[in-house]
Amino acid sequence: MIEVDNELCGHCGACVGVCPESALDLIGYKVEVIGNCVECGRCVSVCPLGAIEIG
Amino acid sequence: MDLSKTYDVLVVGGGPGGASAARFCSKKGFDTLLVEKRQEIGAPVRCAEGVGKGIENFVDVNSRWVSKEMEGAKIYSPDGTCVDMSHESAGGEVGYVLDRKIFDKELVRLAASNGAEIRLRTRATGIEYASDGIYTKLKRNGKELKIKSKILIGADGVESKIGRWTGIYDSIRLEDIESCAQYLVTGINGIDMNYTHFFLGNEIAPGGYAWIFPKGDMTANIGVGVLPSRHNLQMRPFEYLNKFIESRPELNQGKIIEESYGGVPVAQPLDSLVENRVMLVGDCARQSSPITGGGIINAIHSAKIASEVASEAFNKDRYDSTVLSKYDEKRESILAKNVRDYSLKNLFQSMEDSELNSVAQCLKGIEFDSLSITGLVSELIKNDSQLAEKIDETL
Repeated sequence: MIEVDNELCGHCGACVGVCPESALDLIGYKVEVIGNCVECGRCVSVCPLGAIEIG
Repeated sequence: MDLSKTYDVLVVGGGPGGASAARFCSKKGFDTLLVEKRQEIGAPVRCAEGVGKGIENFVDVNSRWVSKEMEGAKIYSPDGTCVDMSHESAGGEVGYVLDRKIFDKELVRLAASNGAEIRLRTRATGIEYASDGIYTKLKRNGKELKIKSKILIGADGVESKIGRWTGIYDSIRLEDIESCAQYLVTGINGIDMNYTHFFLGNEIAPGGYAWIFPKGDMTANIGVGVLPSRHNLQMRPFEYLNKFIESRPELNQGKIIEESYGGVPVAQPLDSLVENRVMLVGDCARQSSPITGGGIINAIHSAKIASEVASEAFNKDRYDSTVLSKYDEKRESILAKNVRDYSLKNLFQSMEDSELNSVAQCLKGIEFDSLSITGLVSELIKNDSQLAEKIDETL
């Protein structure tokens, strides 16, 4: 399961775009895990700020 | 917003693509509703704000939303060799540097003045087909509701859900998205403020580029885009940006007054952007140029085409993917250019710094007034046979 640091997050939605499981959503100004994370790490790679980690 | 009626068109997303779709559809007299999940149109900015002069084909240019008009683009290879391009040949990505917060609102204002309804803070959470329409599930101020429309236009950006719910596409590959960080910096000195500046190099921005887009008053958008499949996770795009600014005396005395982050699709263009009752426009349709990342004109142009196809659908009273596939046919010229740019992107991303330097050495001093990117590549073929071979293989 991933952990999003919403203070570090820049609200860009890139992580949502690359998630192969549609497990993320950008809700207002917050990235939330809404589905089944398979820990593929693509959101971790794409984040411009390094706000996502696999926990 | 009327829950009991069937709208002609529901547009999800209030960026340039969605706003234009709502504008053109309402202009044709269609009962149109635009929903945007954010509480403000145009913010937060996720864009370097450059746009080609082609924008004039779609909207009357107004100084209220133009920060600065550009004369051309300067492209710098890793060793600093500068290739000077006038606006005709710079891939259509110079012309104006916009103020997106005002520009986007102006596009939505045009939609509203044509009669479109606008709802902010309203997020799409799902779709459901009915025999005589499509329901879009929305969440607004904590409440769930459903809106029925004959046609749904998805313009929900890089984080699009509509493209996935309809099965039009899957997630974006890491090779097909630039991870970007940008600061609006004031107090810069010694930069030609009449040009956009692009900096290439695997140390500066692996698989992407750094940019300076002047906005006037010693202020500019300064950013980097890097390819996530290429960069070292130890160094994030914002750290590449910090390094880029700190290493340049003309920039490092400036002060940051805004930060923005974004994922820009530089993706394999999609042949089909339709499903029954649904069309996609803009970043959610991955229509931004794979080589520059510029997407505003393609989004607006596609929105115009989508409104024309919607018109045909209403005339026939048929909304299936066969009828809507006319959208794919009519946007052929946009698609063909992006297919070419995608090949060029792959070529440039495969180049070592030494090869980029070689390209720049070969091109500097050449008059680019009438030279297209295709011309640029063929010019190179004349001067560097090894690189020419590589280009031949790629293209």
